Amino acid sequence: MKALSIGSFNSFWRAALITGGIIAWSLPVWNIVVNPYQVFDTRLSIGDRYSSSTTNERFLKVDHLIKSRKSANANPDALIVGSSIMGLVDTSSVNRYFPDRHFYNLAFLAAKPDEILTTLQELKKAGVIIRTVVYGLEPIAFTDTKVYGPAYRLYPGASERSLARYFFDLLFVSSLSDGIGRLVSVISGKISVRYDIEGTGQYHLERYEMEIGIDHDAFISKQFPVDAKPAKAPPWVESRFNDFQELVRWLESEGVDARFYLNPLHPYVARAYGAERLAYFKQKIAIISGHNDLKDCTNVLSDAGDINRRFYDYKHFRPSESALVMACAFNPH
Amino acid sequence: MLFSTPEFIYFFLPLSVLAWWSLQRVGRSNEAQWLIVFCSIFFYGWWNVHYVLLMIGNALVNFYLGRYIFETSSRRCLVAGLIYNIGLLAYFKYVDFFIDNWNFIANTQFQALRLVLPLGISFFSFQVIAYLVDCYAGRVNDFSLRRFAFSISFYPHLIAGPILHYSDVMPQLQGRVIFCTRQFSQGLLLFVIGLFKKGFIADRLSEMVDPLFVTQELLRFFESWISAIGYGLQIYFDFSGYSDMAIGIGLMFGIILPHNFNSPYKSNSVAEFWKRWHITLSRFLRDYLYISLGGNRSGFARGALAAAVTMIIGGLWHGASWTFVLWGLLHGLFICVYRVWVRLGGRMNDVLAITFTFISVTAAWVIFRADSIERAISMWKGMLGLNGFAVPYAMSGVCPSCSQTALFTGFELVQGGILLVVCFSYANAYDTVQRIEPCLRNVGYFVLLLFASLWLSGSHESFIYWQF
Repeated sequence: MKALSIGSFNSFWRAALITGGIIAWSLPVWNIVVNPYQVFDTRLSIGDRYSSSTTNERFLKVDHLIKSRKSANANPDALIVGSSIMGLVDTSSVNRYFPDRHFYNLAFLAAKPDEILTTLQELKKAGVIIRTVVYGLEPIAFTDTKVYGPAYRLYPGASERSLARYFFDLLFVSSLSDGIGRLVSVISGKISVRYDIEGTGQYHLERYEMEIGIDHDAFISKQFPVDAKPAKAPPWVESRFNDFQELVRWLESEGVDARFYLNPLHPYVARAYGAERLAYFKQKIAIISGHNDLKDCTNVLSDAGDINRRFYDYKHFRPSESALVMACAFNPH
Repeated sequence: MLFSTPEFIYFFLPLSVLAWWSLQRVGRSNEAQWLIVFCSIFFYGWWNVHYVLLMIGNALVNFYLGRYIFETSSRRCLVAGLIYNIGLLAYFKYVDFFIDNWNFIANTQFQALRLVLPLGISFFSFQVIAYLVDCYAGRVNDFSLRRFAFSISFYPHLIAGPILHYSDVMPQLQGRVIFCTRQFSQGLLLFVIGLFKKGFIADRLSEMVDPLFVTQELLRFFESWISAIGYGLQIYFDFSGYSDMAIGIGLMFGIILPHNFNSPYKSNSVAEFWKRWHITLSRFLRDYLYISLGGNRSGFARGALAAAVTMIIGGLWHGASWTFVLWGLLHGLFICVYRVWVRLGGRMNDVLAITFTFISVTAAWVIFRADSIERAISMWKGMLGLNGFAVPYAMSGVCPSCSQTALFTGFELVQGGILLVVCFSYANAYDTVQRIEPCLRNVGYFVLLLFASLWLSGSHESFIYWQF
């Protein structure tokens, strides 16, 4: 079949430039209107604020803390840091053990120690007071080699030039799949996750909670298949331990009261690492952090029985378990 | 400013092309050329403004030196010019390598200088060396500073080639450049094909391959092969993407840059591979090094030695590290073995020869990419099966007794397979755009490729060849 001619190259280059221009300039419009990472003015974009599953916590939480540092309200002076597992922790369950502190949940999805250090340094530089830091660790952050997208870009630094560059990059970033996810959730009205950026910093898995409310057993069958193949955890990324050491040193040098403990693991994940590797991890973290009595809460939820009811999936325990986990981490006995 | 970044695609490229043709249209060719020189300086300064003066000064020194060499036929000046350019390159690129090795050999403690390598200095140096030699040989007959400045700094080739000869671009600038709709259309399509290769394929491959090369885990059979082939594909699409973009931009300006990449994985020998991979570098090495070392004229053994030395220097040109030297040495050895094979009358089926060449080149990529020789040796052992075998999670059902790897999912095998089919069987972009017709289908391809490149690309990684 002969391809349909459009006359001459004189028409071809014009047609290519016009259609190409439309394709190209639609991208920044899409990024502002769909706003999958929620970094642009949410008044110009669709859907509820901070309810996109790809909300960029790394930027928004830091931006919020920096902007609110001079407000008259009681500002946070203590931070919960760590990965998405910590992001679910209810700040009030931590505040109970530190009555004179005001906690904000600064945990990020897939946070690594070097990112936490960079973020804390940035906050300090911007004048945010940090008195206490609670960091719940798990081995996953020390073996994860995945490359993450724009939803995981760190706050760029306080200078205006780097902020402008940051927004410029996100204006033109490839975001089709993240944007479609956002679009579908807005159109269907089914919100999976909501970030309380301007409140506690915690995020809430609304869809999971709704499904649990309807039929918890069905939720468990979906999330924890009985015939799940055993998995093997990836090897350690040794440089992460060095990064963690850097973080510990910095916290010490800044006089921050830093508390570390090991987060609960689902038995499926614990088996993927194996007892030997978990023991290695615990020992290494204890040595680096200088916490000889490092609280190990790895089994605190599995020991309490009915394990699948306590987790959303193989990685994340439910916020309702925060009190139990914090009791393990901070109760002297 | 990378060719694949938004500041380039949305602003710099369209504005510079528009300004160029606007001036050409009103008969201001000379001003248009100066404008592009200015744009190229801006393009270079975007990376590091401090080295702009170095680039300008270096270009001026070489221009006036070249003219003097032409006028006086002074061999001394030529030698001085070569020493100056090689010295500059050595200072910025190799001085730390030399200091580190000297410290190791002599057990001294000299501090490394840790200089920032000026972007594109390796390419720039080779171009001006070629220019000085051509001046000495009387092959240059145009001493316009404007055209020289345009030719040497023209931003599509400034950072990573193609490496130009005097005769590639300067003669095209002598008259007014006429807007050719066919050429402009070809340029648009070639640029978008390159952008697609870079943003949609190479950058995504890099996300998969980089962790495999930095993991401290001992890589086993499949992991090692996936790493090596994955990197081979990454650098293939990265460099061919860059070359397509550079030549495509040239065409948008009505300037034809030399072909630099011609389906190298279709080569049936390593010697042929070098006629297809980074063609302008091979041309430079052949014309200014291999032939100077005697080339084919001094007998078989001398020719083989010259080829090996040329390849080692070619390897060192890529980077100041023993891994690059060994990579060059390996390619030199492959070429020598091939020559012996041909001399002995050896023959091989074409499919077998292409496969054998591909495996040799892939094995050599390991040391090109690896951080150390030890790491490369460990990966080669893995490729031979000496580190054991492990299958990914997705394939654990096929072999329940095999140990499992968490370093790849198994899906990479499908992706790699598709890309290899593309490399081995598709016509390359340069040839494809020579034959394009002004039809709706081609506009559709253009739009589709642009859409995928902008809306579905991976993170904007730097071009691999920009670091050389």
